[in-house]
Amino acid sequence: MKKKRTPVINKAAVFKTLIAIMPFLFACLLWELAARNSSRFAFLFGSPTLVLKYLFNYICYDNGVSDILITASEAFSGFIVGNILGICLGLGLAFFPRIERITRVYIIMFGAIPIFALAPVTIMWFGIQFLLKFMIAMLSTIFVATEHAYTGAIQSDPELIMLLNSFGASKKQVFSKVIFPSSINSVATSFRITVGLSLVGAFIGEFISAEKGLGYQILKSSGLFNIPGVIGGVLLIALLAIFMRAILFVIMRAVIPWHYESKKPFQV
Amino acid sequence: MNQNRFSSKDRKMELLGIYNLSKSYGTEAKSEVVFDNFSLEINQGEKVSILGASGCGKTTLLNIIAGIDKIADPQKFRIKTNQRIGYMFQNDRLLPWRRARNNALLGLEMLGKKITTDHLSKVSGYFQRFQMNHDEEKYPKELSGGMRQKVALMRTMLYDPSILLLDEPFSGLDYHTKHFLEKEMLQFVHEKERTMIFVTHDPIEAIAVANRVVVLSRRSHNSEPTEILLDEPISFTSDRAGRDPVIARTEPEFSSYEKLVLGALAE
Repeated sequence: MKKKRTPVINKAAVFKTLIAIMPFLFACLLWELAARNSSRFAFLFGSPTLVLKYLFNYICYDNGVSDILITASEAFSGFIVGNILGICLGLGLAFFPRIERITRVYIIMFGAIPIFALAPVTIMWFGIQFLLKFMIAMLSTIFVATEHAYTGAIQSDPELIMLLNSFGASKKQVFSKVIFPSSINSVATSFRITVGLSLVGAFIGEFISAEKGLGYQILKSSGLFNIPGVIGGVLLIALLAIFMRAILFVIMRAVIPWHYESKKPFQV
Repeated sequence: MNQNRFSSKDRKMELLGIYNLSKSYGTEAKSEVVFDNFSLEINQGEKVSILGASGCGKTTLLNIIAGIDKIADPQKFRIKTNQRIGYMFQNDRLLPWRRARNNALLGLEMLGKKITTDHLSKVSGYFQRFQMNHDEEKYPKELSGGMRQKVALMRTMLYDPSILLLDEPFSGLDYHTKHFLEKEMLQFVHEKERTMIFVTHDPIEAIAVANRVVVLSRRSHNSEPTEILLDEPISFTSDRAGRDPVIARTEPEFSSYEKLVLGALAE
């Protein structure tokens, strides 16, 4: 009996991808036609070809690559440190409920402050270099991470805690074997949110004061009425966010495989 | 556990006992009395089945013995020293983030033992015996309900408790898996000379796995406290009946015990 060959290209997946990008391609077509028909429209909104032309020059002949790396490093470092601190804080509060009762209102208060409102003051606190962008990115993520880690920990399955108690487990054992692993799903959800927040934080930091980075480039383009430049910069930030989410998905799928058995791709 | 433990030197003492226990649930404004001067003693080596309608306190009794439910007066519950209690629940309670093998090893970890290659071999032996040769690396999500309960039983057996508490562990399982697990459980209890307290809704199962049946009841539609309606030793002619519930069910004495228990349940 002949062995059935596995097709090299999954036709169904290709078809689904094409269907997904069709609206985007159709919108770009309309946009391009409108820009070619009206110079005023082209000035106000640019066109896909102008954006692509700008991006090509920016990446190949200008500081495009270094700007992307700078913004990515600011966002990524803020994301990592913000989440590590936030997770430790959230889990710590779950482990020490007495401290949580005292600190809860302060965490809610600080979490509600829009960090961007403090942006002008942050220049005095952190200067104008990398530290400023890092701190804004980090502060944008820490309270979200704290809330998710804490919520995930206190929502641990009481039946699993009862199981450990039936073995005579200590509080530390219950925490390490049930509560901490239980919080990982909530922490993974927090990562999905804070990836975007850290990028926004880095972007805002560059908006406030920068000489490099995608935020700086967007601001410069805006000042020169270079609409393709603005749109191109925004597009690069969006692609950076998708890239960070993809990296996160790969890492989390390796770290918490039980969470991803039936999940769709990119569902971190 | 905060229970009063008595010395094993006193041979007239039972393995564990509940004496004149009173327990209620709810608030001060509206409380429901479950037990009122309730007493029950379990001897070493007994296999006790506890039957009763929902809400009569069967699980509460197990929780008190396991030390999960605290009682106001520790004198009301006494247990012999140095007893290790293994509790198997109605649902498997496997940790979702651990593979099947590591779930089975949880009991050993809780004893503070370092997991050695001997332990891993023992676990593999259990997986083979339970016909789950290729399932050690699977997560609980990938296992069927019956397989998960098998892993839960492995976890309990590897913990090697001196007292087994089982709260309807095989309800909802298919006939074949249920009998397989009953037999494995009884063989473990018999070989290791353990004490077992088995809560079930099924009178047939209660008689088949035990050498003593206790029927609890709350009369008058749950408004009265729980009392013991029947406390009957079970004895079959064949020695094998004590280790194999299928053989027990075919014993000539089985039907008379069944009538006795069903009569008590009907009250």
